[in-house]
Amino acid sequence: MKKIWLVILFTVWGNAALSAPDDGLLYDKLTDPRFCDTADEFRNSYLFLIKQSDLGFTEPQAVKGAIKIAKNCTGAFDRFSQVFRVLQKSGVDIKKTFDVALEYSSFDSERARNFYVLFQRLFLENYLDIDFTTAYRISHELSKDYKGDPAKLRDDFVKIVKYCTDDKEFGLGKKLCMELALKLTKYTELYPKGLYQDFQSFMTYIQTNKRLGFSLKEALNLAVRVLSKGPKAPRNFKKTIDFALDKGDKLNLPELQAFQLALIISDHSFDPTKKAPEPEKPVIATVDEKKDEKNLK
Amino acid sequence: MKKKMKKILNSFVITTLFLSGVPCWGQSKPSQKLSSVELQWEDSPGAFMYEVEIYNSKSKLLKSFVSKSSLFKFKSTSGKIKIRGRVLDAYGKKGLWSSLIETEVPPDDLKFPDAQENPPPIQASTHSKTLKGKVNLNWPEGVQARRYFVKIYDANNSVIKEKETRNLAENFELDPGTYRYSVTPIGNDKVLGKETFAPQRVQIGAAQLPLAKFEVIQTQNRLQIKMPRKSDVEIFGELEYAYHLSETWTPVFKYDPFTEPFWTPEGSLKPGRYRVGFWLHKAGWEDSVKFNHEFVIKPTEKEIIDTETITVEK
Repeated sequence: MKKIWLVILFTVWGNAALSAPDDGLLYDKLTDPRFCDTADEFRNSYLFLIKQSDLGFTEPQAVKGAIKIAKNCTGAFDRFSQVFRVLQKSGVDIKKTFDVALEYSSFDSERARNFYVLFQRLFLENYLDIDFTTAYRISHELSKDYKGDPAKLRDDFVKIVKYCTDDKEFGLGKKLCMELALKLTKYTELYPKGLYQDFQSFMTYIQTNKRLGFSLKEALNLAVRVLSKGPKAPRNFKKTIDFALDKGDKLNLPELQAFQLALIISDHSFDPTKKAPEPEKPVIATVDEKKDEKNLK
Repeated sequence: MKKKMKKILNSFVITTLFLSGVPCWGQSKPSQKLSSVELQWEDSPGAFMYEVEIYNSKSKLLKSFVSKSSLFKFKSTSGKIKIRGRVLDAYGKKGLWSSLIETEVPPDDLKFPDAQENPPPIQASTHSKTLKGKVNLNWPEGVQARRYFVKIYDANNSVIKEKETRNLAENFELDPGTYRYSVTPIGNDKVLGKETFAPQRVQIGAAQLPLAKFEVIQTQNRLQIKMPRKSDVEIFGELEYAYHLSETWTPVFKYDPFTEPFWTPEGSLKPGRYRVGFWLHKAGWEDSVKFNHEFVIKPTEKEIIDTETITVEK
């Protein structure tokens, strides 16, 4: 009889040893976006929705809602909850909040993040403090409707607004700063790493160049025009100014003419008739893949 | 409209029947038409013909006629009349005159034009100084009417104004409210006709208080609304809330009345849209139009970040 019990125990232990406690140790970490962690997304979504008393969901409604969110694959709940929270806390109609958040759960995470961050930057009193309707519209334009890289755009927008409203820098009015950020970020896609650094250094160049003698408003307008011609335009502008004003190189133009010439030259920095190169494969994904390979080895 | 009067005259019965004339609007000239009168004599055995004499109140003979029938129809002016009669037999022998019986011929009933089921009311607004509304009431001309007696009834059916006039229209100044009016024609010798109600009601709207200036003072972090200084009026108000992207407004506070010189939003209002409205109120007046001001309460960054940390465990 004892033998029989031992056999049974060993059999059970043997089976337990065979089953993996953590799938990640055995299988490749799946980075293929087609495969979704829907169970986690569903569970988190359900628990979140059922807690939202103002949403007034019954259990079946919460299940239905959670299924809709989970359907949007890995990260859907994070995307949903970010957008939901920012709108709910701002006093948006709760049904509309749910619908918009659900829509954002279906986009990539950077788009949801854009809405979450940019809406706050536009709407909140300590940032641009614009009216709800405008903030809501622009936030959509710069997130779900944006054709380029949302993270790059967000980074540019946030930094430009901070730089513009900072009393140590320009200390400009909130409305002017919003307009400036919107104008400049239209060209973010021309810059591989965003245009903020180029903008900042170009502004420093114009403001410190005493011979040009621009007011802040003129300097900003010039910056927008030059930066709109791509990442090589600021350098072309600077080089032409230096060349035109240089007494040693015979050109020796007066400041106004030098400026006009530099504008013409920098305007030619962008050729829209030529095709843009194919976007490079994201670096982060490659690193992850290498790590996964090491783990397997 | 028929009206019968029976009078016993010896062994006769006189019945007068007054037939209405055709109404004629807008004329102030007294009607020349006569009221229709019917006399019914009680049949008398052996009576071959009937002879009738009609006098006015001053005993002037107005009419004299002979009829084979005991029912006579004739036209008469309104007022007090005296009637006597006698019978004639087949040989022309006349009986004795009856004694004179006094009776009255009233003017015909007034006929307002055929009204719709719910005719629109006669409307007027009260004047801001007198607090009364002025209306011009009119009525059709009555046959044999020499004057008219107009009565105005309030909503409780009490007469609140009355006036006697020769005209077919009169002005009245009334307090705010709903009224009806009636007109009774008055004939000769001040004989009253039948009181007839006009089909239209009279509506006097209260005068509306003019809106005073509410000054909005918006500083960087503070909203204030300065109340107008008016000692004789009260200021009422309400605060309403709506979510963004919604047009359903729900009341938050009522101010009845609001007595402070300045209004500022209550602390701890949840984020969303707000609409504060004020209006002036005074007894006997219609409230002024509402002054509205919309504003938005925004969350702080901390409030949003705090909620962001409330995440569900993974």
